Amino acid sequence: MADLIVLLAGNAAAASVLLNAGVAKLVSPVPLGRALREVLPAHRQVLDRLARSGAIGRFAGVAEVIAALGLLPATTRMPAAIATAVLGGAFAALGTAGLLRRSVKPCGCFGMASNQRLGATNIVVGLALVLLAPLNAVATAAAGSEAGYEQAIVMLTSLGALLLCLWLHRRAARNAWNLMRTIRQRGEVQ
Amino acid sequence: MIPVVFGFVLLVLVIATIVLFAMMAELSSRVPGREVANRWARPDEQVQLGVSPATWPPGVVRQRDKDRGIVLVLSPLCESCALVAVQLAADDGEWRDVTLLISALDEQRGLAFINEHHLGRFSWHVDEGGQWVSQNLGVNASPTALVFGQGRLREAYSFNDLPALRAELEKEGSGNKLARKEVV
Repeated sequence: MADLIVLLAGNAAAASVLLNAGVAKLVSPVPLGRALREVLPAHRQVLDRLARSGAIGRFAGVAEVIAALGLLPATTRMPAAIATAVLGGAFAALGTAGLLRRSVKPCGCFGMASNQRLGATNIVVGLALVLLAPLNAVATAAAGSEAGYEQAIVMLTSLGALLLCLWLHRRAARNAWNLMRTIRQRGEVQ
Repeated sequence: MIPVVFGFVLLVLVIATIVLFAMMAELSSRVPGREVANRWARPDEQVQLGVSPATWPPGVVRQRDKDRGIVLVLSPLCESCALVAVQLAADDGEWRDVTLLISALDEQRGLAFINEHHLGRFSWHVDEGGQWVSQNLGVNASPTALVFGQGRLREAYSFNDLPALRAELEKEGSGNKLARKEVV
């Protein structure tokens, strides 16, 4: 039971992060290319073209969404966990490059929701995602029924992704909330 | 079966919500904010044009003999300078030839400003107490952009935004500011 809880928590958290990051990059693909161009100057010419078209951001976004959705069915969670670990390794490597090169451009990791640069946060999140592969490998035998896993992971991922989305866009969410309150108050006055 | 279907419907709704918020963030990043109206660059009428300083600090001297050498005067104390420094740090190379003259109380504070904003890749000089820039050129405000040509101060601008300064520099690009002032 404890194994199942750890597995659910780990996979739901990873899927929530990847869903938010992936969808945001599909909507706003350009910043990631710009940040990569900054931290990988050796490949600047190639990255210049790709950054302008947003191809890098879109590719990363699709990979993240596929990995996130792959963690949900019990039958695909192991390959998805390996893909997530590979993505995590890439995040950590880029975070290290950003830290070493003192990156100043927003990475667009969560689209336009944050102005964060490639750095320590990417390293921490990346390394946490790398741990997902061994976690899934260890918990495979002890995780219990597939149906129980799928029911719980979908609900947990939905909840986690929604909370993370609201936190990332907390300013917009607060503004929307204040706007609704103002409209309601005006309605009461009239 | 029903809980699984319900779960996936919920997940689709959550993904739709994430898309909606991401699109809102993208759209709001494309709409110029209120502060855009407050971004400006204009000729600084207080600065005396045409003067040729007797001494040139290291770093600034490389702008002396250019046709259009640009020196940006910044100070750790002014808020606009910090915003300009952030823009410089994110620069792709458009401003790589400028020299930064950091007008600070002492060298340590000037260095801290350079390090804090990662401006080390630019040519820079810390002007302690702003002595050189005020005594030789009469500049007492920052941020200020000084344009030198053949050893003389040709143009001077007050500004708080690099793109606005670039637009102003291109508008006045022929160096006619000095000619106009001398005629007057």
